[in-house]
This record gives sequence, C-alpha cells and structure tokens, in this order.
Amino acid sequence: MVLLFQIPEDKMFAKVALILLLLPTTMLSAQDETDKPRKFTMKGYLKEMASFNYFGDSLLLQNLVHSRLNFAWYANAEFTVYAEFRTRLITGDLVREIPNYSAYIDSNNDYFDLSVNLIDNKTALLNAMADRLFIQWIHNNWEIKAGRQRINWGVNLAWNPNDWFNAYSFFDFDYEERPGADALRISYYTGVASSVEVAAKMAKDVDHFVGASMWRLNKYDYDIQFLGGLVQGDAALGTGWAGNLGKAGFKGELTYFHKVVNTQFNSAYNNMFLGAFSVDYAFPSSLYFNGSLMYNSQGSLHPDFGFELVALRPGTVRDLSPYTWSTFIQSAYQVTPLFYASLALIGYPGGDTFFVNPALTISVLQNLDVDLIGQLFYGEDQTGHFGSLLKAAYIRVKWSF
Amino acid sequence: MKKLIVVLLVCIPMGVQAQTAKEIIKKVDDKMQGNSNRSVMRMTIVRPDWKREVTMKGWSLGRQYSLILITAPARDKGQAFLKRHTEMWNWQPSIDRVIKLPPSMMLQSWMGSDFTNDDLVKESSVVEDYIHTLKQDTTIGGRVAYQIEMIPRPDAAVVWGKVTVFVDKAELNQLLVRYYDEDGSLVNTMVLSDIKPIGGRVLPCRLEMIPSDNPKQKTVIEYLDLEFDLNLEEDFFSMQNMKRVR
Repeated sequence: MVLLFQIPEDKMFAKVALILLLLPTTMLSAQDETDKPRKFTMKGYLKEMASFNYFGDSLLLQNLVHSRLNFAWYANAEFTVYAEFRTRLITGDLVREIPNYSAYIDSNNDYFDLSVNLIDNKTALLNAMADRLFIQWIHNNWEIKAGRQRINWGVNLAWNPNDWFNAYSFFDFDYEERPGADALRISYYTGVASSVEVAAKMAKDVDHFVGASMWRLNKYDYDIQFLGGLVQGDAALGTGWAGNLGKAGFKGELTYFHKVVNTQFNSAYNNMFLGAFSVDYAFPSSLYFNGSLMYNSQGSLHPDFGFELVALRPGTVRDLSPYTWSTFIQSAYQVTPLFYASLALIGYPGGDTFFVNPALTISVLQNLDVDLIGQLFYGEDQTGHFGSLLKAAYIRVKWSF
Repeated sequence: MKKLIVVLLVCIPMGVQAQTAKEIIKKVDDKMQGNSNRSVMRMTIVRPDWKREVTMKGWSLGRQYSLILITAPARDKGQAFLKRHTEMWNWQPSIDRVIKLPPSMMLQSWMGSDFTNDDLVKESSVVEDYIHTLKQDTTIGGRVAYQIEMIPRPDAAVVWGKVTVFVDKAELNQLLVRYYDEDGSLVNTMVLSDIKPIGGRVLPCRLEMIPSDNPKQKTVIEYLDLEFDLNLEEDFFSMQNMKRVR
C-alpha cells in the first residue's frame, strides 16, 4: 500500500499490475471444493526470498517479494484465455550496487513490451510483467495458441538444445515458470502420442525471428521428435527423444545450426552443433538420480569469464553453456513427505570451474513451503586464481493458493 | 435325460466346484475397477503431528490405460499423469512440458505417501501377476471372509514377496490386505472400510495404508465420487487429453 504514490501517472499498465500484486490477499476464498470445472480460475503464489551473496569477502544482501497470478477463462469448449502475471519487489544491495540492475530485471521481454518497472530507484525496484497472455483454440485434434506463451520443445532436465523459442537457465531457479515467447503455434495431434506442430515467433527483424516445425511420434516406447526451421538467422535441424534404457530413463536432444543470414547471434560461427543426453533413475526408496552431458561445438574448454556467462540468463539456446563439455549430476531424496532434499553438481571437464547446488524444501503447512538453497560457483577469477567466485544462500518462503 | 445333462453342464462349473482363489480375486478386481471408471479421490498422508492432502480426478480403462489430474494442493494443481501400457508421462502446464517418466519411477512412493505409483496407476495385475491360494476362512468386522494368499509370479514386476487378501464373501469386497516383503516380514497393511453404495455398486470408499514399522502413520484414500463403465475409448488416454482434462 505504501507503494501507491510512486506509480507513474501515465502508466495504466502499472496500475493494473499493482492491483494484481495486492489481489492474492483479497481473493483467497476462490478455492474450489467441488469437482465441477469452473469457467474462470485463478491460482498463484506469494514468495518471500532473502538472498546472501558472497563475492569474495564482500556480502551483498537482497530481499525479494514475488507474487504470481495465473488466470484462465474457459470461454467455451473451444476457446480459453490465459493471463499470467509476475510481480517482484526487490530491495537491497544488488539494487543499490549493480549498474543497470533495473534494466536487467526489466529485460525479460519478447516482441511486445509486457514488463514495466513501477518503482526504480536505489532503494527498491518493483517490476511487473505478463509472461503468459494467450488465446487457445481447441477443436478435435487441432490446437492453436496465439500470444505470449511458453513453447517447450526440450525434453531434458538440465540443458535443452531443442528449446529454440525460449531458452532458460538452470541457475535461474526462482523463475519456475520460465520465460515465454510472443508466438503463433498450430498443433495437430496425429495420434494419442504423436503430433505435428508449426510455430513462429513475432520479430522486428530476422535477428529475432524463429519459425520452426516439429513432428513428434511414439515408437518402441520412445517419444521421438524431429525439428526444422529458421532460428535467428540459422537454418536449424534437430531431433530429440525420451525413452528407457532398462528401468532408467534415457533422453537426448541434438540441434545443428547452419548460418544463412548474419545476425547478432551467429556472427562468431558458420555452423554450430549442440547435443545433450541424460539418464535418470528412481529407486523404490524415492532416491532419484539424473546425470546429463552437454556438448557445444562452439564452446571452449576455458572460455573467457565463462562462469559469468553461465550464471546469466541465456539470450538464446546457443548460450546454454559456453563450455565445450558440461556435465550435470543431480540426486534428490524425499526424506519424509515434508522434507525434500537435493544436490546438483555441474562441472566442465577440461575447465577448472564447477557449481554446487544443495537445496532443501520443507512443507511447513499444506500450502506453505520453505526452501533453503545454496549456489556455489568455483573457478578462476580474472587474475587466474582459483577459488570461490560466488557463494549464494537463499531462504525462500512460498505460499501457494 | 437330455434335460438333466443340460442342467448338469450348466451347474458343474458354478455349483459343484467352489470358486477358485483366482476367480474370487478377478471378481473383486472387476468390481472395484469396472471396465472403465472415473473417480474423484482424496489422499491424506497422516502422521502423529500433521497431515497433508492431495485431491485428484482419475479415469481408467482396464489395466492398461489411466489418467490422473491433480486438483489440490495449490502447488501441484493442474499437473496430470498419463499411463498407456508400460509408458507413463507427467504433464506440467506451468512450463508447457510433458515429461516421460522412467519405469523405475513406478515403484516410487506417490507424492511422498505410503502408496506407490504402481498402486495408483496399477501397472501390475492382481489377477495375472500372482499365483493365488485359498486359505482358511475368517471373520473381519463381523463379515465372513475368504483368505487368499497371493505369491507373485517370478517374472512379475512386483515389489512384494507375498500378499494376503481378505475378501467379504457376501459382497465380494476386499476388507484387509497384508503386504509382505521377500523375507516374509509384514510391510504394509491396507484396511478397507466405509462400505456403501457408490457408482451403482456397493464398495469400500475408504482405504487406509498402514506401514508396519510405523503404525502411527498412514495414508488414507477416500473415494468421493465414482462412476463405472463409461464410454471411454482407448484414445481418451492421449497426450492431448492429458493437457485438456479438467
């Protein structure tokens, strides 16, 4: 409420966003106990996260209040409208110390600018954005989606070379829904586990245009997909699969880029190959393992400031990792129904850098979770000394409704 | 004379021979499952100091096809699980992703409860995957019950060493199920109660799974709604429907 007087007067969107931020406290009774589908649904969460970032010896603190509201309007049997809003109030040292931090927070946009910093000063940053805003039309085996949506063509957990429309970073753990793209997507289901899809992303130039199609089929207990298209100036071909090796899961994604038009994303190469494989296994005790390997033909064993790049949000699928080889191992264990522990390690064979990510989720109440998360980056700094580059600890409280 | 032979032919399989253990289990299973069904369930994980609830809607056709939609808690609402034969997928609408689950996940605990994925989507068959033997009748809660011992077939994907089922003779409902490990130790006990008319049948609507190493904890499944023999076809259990069911 304190924030009201700081809203820029000319921004209608800002007012709407602020109302949305305050909505969860007033719309809580909207829990449905009946089993009849509703015409209008709302769900979301409110998160509070404190982060402690150690850069060498200096400690930078940050506080984040984060709300999400997901609306769906089932207009009739064929049309549904989805609108999902993310609002973040950030305070602390990063806002104060990091140059252009507000631009970094406000940058998560596609063609349409659906993000706005409502408060932007050295004390606080309030950003509101719509990362899903689309209409869906369903008729028998046809499905058309238009607007800002997530087009997820990846199959792996850690790295997704087939995620051509909206790449995401494993390090960006607090963005559970991952970014969306302003796109038109037409799907036709040719069978119970097979489909053909065509999707195109809105773009002001060829640099940002992605248009591609995918054929997905199910054979020998494998989901297999073939992709082709034009991706930010590259002719792109890809394939992916998800199946089993004995009792274990076996997934993979391959993408080959061949430069057709010079763009800001492919100026450094003519051809690029990205591949990622993963194997996962769950023991009856609920102990779960996932191991992944990624290859980037344009990567380097010792990229300049590789870790700084790795830790940032990827611009396109090409930026998943600047290293030639990247390895990922995760184990997770449901200690009790209330405690879920996991440990992920990312290493770069040949390079001297690695990443350690322990996490514990505690279910405090039916709809209230507390997460304790660590992100530890080790590597060579700019002077060539090996050590910890960044140690971050997060305490997050999440209330879902 | 001719008439008598016909009468005998008809009677022999039913009257003269008692029902075999396998036939009883098949009837019980058919009654609980139907050819196809639609259900609304609430699962409650109960521990001495707390409890957690998951509610879901389920559709199934025979043993080969099932679809489950999570309706609560808020955190997981909208997620769906599809099973076709031996394949299983999880739909996560928040990230627009279908995740194919490895077969090893079938024996994992279902959302941290005392039930496994297999208990929910019924990969293994109580009829086909076991050898059944009829034991001494007994009485449970005032109901006369068959006692049937089930030993898994060697090639069956079953975690248990032995399962003992007690079936109400009058209504052909399970009343009690005991699950033993391969060393013969009791692992879980399932108590079925709240027997009442639902979906046009008389069935137990409350299933409690109690682990024997921790009798103070249990997981309860309650059927809030149940319908049988709907016109569900095999192609209802599809990727597109996993994303669309509400």
